[in-house]
Amino acid sequence: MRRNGRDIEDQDVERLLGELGQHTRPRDEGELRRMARSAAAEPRAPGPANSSGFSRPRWAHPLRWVGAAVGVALLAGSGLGFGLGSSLTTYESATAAAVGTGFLPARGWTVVQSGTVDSLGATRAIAANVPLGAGDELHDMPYTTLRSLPERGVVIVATFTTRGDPGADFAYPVRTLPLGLESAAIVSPATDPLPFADSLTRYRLRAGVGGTNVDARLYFGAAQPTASALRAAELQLGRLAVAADRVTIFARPTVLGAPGSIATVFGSVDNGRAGETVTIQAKDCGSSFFRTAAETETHSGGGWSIQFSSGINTTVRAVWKDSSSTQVAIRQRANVFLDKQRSGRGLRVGVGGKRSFWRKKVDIQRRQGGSWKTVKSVVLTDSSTSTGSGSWTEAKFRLAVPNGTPVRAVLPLAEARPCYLPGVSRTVRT
Amino acid sequence: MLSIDPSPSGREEPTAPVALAEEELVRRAQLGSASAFEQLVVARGPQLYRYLAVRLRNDSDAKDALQETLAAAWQGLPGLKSRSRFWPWLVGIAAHKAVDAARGRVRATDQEPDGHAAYDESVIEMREAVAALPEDFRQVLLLRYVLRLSEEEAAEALGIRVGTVKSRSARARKALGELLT
Repeated sequence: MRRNGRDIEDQDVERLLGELGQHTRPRDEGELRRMARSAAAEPRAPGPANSSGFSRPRWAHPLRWVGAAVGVALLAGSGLGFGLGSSLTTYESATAAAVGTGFLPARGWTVVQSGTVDSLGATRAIAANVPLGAGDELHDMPYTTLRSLPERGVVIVATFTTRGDPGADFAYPVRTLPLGLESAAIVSPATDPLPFADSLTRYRLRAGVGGTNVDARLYFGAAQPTASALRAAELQLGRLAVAADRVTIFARPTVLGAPGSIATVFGSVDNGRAGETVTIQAKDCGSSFFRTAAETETHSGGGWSIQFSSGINTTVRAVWKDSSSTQVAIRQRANVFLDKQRSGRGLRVGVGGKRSFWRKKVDIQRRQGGSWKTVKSVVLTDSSTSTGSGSWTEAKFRLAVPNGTPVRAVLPLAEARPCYLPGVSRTVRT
Repeated sequence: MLSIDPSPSGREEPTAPVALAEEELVRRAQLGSASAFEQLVVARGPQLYRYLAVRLRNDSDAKDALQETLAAAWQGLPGLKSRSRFWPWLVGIAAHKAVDAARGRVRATDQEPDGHAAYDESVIEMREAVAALPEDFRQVLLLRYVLRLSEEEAAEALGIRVGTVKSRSARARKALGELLT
């Protein structure tokens, strides 16, 4: 095709440039909608623009209002004193995770809400019709109170975890609030031992409520609880509120080691229904946006779970309808390889991953006196190969150590970050 | 339900009904309506993707850049003062994301957009010639001829003066002519 500049300007530029665009494969509408939803699921950062009249509506779901009301009631009850009974709410209850979940304050009852107490985001609430023992409001279990629980005393310890973990959900039948003692089972001290001898009567009630698993343990001071004690416990169980996030997410484990290892990512939606579509989005290290990693459907009780592997530090979140969950970081250890060269002279070290490790330094360590000692630092410069899924960078080197010495390669954190955790190779004998 | 004709009827004069419908969607999206934002994306997304695919010459990069553009747009929408300028504003974001994407990737991984098998020789030549242009020239040409923005809109999207758009456009066409001759 030969033209002169004048022809190009007047006749062909517009047409040919326009044709360039026509030869791209258009994104289908469904994909565009997913991308839009993904973008809009990100809460807008507060800023001058948002504060001047453009704010994203929050509390769109009626349950949110219930959650807010419960949260306000809990905070007000704890902060100002609720009736004659002393109600207590710890600092942690002001966090979003705990507001709206726990026991409503009631006359004659002490209620305590804890914040997140373990890596899976469990929260705990305690209700007692006696004053809590010293320090019990700071601990997961009110042992001091239980140790001296009078015959009329009742203590309820409720633990809240998210549904979605297939290994746990089966033990939590789906129930609706208010919970009642008729759903509880009497358990033996051997099943629920305390760290001291006791003669308490124990009940246990497990329920899946709106995307949350509730494990309520009830302790009565009497070996044969009176009707009034049982009635009091029944009423307090009825004051148990669950106002979880609309969609939750957790991961186990959160650190992946060997290449190809997977994490179970699970969570729940708050309507507790099966068949709801949940989109799991992932943001790989180095990327500034979330991509759709998987779609799944909830099962009974609103729980969902997937197997996830990314090969790089990744942040994941779940999106359901117009709500997104909190974000969970799943971190990946660098894949470090060490082996003897085929020639038998020298060693070969390499690191693989979704990012190139070119010019990164790997520490070579030898076993010495029961510990590992760095004897050499090797810069990865060779054979950096890029594939669709990642790259592999290596280096060959020699090591002046006696034959048969155990050695290994370590990619330290300073070289691995920000997209990987430190990695260690297998041990090789020279 | 509001609808938008995503293809401007002319380079210089977008039709009034289109602008009104889009303005309303923009207003709602600014107030936090994900649904309105979705409609905007459905309407404008194909054009935006076309531009990014031509600019980045890689389907995957174009998709990533589009997602980044949408994420930035959602975050930035409340700050958009003139709703009637939504389209050039959105294109401006995409242009910046395209520059970021092109800067960040390895040259060797450049590929052609999917579905280019039907290219004829002249289109392939044009594509290569456009790729060889300086970044400033290429931006102007793609906005003017692929997205069919007016000179004013292109200037607004790129944050430059209209006169600069005109001069770059002229020089880009001249450079293209030399490359293709």
